[in-house]
Amino acid sequence: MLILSRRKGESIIIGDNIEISVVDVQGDIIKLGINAPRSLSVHRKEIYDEIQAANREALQNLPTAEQLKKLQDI
Amino acid sequence: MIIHSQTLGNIDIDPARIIQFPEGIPAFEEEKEFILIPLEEGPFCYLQSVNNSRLCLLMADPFVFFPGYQIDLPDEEIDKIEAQDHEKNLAVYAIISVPEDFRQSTANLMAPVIINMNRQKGLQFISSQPDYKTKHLLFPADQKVKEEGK
Repeated sequence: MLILSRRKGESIIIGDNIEISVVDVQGDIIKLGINAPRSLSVHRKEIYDEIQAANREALQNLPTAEQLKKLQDI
Repeated sequence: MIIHSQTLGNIDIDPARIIQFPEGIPAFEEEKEFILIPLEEGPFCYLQSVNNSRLCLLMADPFVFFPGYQIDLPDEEIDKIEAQDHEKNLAVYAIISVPEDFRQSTANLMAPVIINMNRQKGLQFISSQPDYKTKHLLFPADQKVKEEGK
C-alpha cells in the first residue's frame, strides 16, 4: 500500500482524473473531497461491505419452492 | 437462448431482454448481465445472472410491503442507466432474504435494484438515507402475532 502525508488543502491525484483532497482535519475526523468521473462509484467502505454481505446472504437464503409458495400466499 | 440457473434449471431467454449492469452488483461485480424472471403472480421476481448459474436473487416490489418507501436517485446514478428521459419507466426492486422461518423474510431497502426498462440497464443503488437498512421484515411482528393468534 502506498502511504503518503498530506496537509489540509493538499490533494492527491490517481490516474489523470481522480482527485482526492483533504478538505478539513478535526482530531481523528478527516473530511475528504473527491473529484472523479461520474461513472465511478464512491462509497464509504463499511457501507459497501455491508451491501456485499447482504447480497451474499440473500443468495444463501433463497426460498425453497415450499417457502416461496407460502410467501406468495400471504 | 438457453441459460442455466441452479435455482430455476434451464431457462429459455430472449437475448433482447438481457439487462446490463455496468458495475455488476456488490459482491458480484464481475457479473454484468442479468435477466428478470417474474413469478406468475404477486410482487416477487428473480434476478438471474446470465453467465453465472449460481447467482440468482429473489426480489420484490418494495412498495407493496413498504407503501411509504422512497428513494432519491442522484443524477450520476440516473446517468449510469441512461435514464435521463426515462424516469417513468424505472423499475425498483428490493432484494429479499428468506431464512428458514419464511415469516422472518427481510427486504434490503438500503440498496434497491433499479432498472431502466427502456434501455435494459440496471444497477444496485446504495441509499444514504439513515432510515433504510439491509434487513426490513416483510411481515412485521404485529402481523405475525395476529396470525399466530388465529
